[in-house]
Amino acid sequence: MSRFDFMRKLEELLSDIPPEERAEALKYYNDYFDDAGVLNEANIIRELETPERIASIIKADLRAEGDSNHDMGMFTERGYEDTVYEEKKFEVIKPGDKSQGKDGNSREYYNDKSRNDKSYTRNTNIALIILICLFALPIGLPIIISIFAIALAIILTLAGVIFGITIAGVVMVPVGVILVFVGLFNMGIPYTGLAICGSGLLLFGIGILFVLLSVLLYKTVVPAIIRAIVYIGRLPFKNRRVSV
Amino acid sequence: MVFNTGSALLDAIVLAIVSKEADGTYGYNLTQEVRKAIEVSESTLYPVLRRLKKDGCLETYDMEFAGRNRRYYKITDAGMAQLRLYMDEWIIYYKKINNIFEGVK
Repeated sequence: MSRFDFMRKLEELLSDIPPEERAEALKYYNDYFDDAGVLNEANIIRELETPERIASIIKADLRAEGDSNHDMGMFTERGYEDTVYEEKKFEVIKPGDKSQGKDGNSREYYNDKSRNDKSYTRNTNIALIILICLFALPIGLPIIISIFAIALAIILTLAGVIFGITIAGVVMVPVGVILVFVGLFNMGIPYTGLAICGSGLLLFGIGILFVLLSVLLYKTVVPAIIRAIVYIGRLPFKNRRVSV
Repeated sequence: MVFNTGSALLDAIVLAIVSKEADGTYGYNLTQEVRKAIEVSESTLYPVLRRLKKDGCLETYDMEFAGRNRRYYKITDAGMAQLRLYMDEWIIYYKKINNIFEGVK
């Protein structure tokens, strides 16, 4: 998870607390990331664990505001807030069991258990995703390859058509000119000379139009095709680029 | 660390660090300073700072740093009084503990 994903998710999770509290907390963690620097980003995110955890710590603290009892649990090696966070969770799970929550040992034990459960589900999730990827590979890979092949074919066809128009135009202009002269020399033969001359002019005109058309295409369509190729080439890396 | 730190002691540590700088300090630096004495996670101090601010022991202000506004925490008069109280209590506490430890073979 990147810093921006983390902050966006945190903001979303804090949407139900007063706006000034939300702004204060987001400012704190934004500053924290800024001051720690880009190099420490991954470390901090690992230590913060999840936006859900941070949000629940902040909310637990807000809920405790009303209580006269300020001294909530103890601050252990795992951090003061861990106790608050886990304790609140504990109360949610076992509402009638508050007396047990006062006892440091039983709470610690419970914390350890919930911690293990969490990492267990995370591991199975990763295993599941890998499994799904493996099963999807025989179908997914050919589909992806054929999509790329079709895209490439369309682009090449377009390029071929444009190139063809250019060649036709370039050839038609001189051929038209030659035909006009051939027609002029053959004016002695009635009709034939005029016909050759006329078709020469026709070819000359169409040739000029084709050349103009191809110039226009080179200006507009070719850059678009190059952009499309670059875009397709970048697709597999797109997600990675965003997360960096 | 084998000893647990009560939230009052953590408050005292935070207040003491903040009080040492005339302009106060910011979250990241504060965490690094606290870590010199006790193990705290990156997420530990925000609730502590928020509570101390609510209680009037700390105040915040923004100061420009490297083209952005950084939030600083500064100790108030009430916070200073609270810190002195904590420090007096701490001296009494550690002397008592030391008396017990003294002479242990």
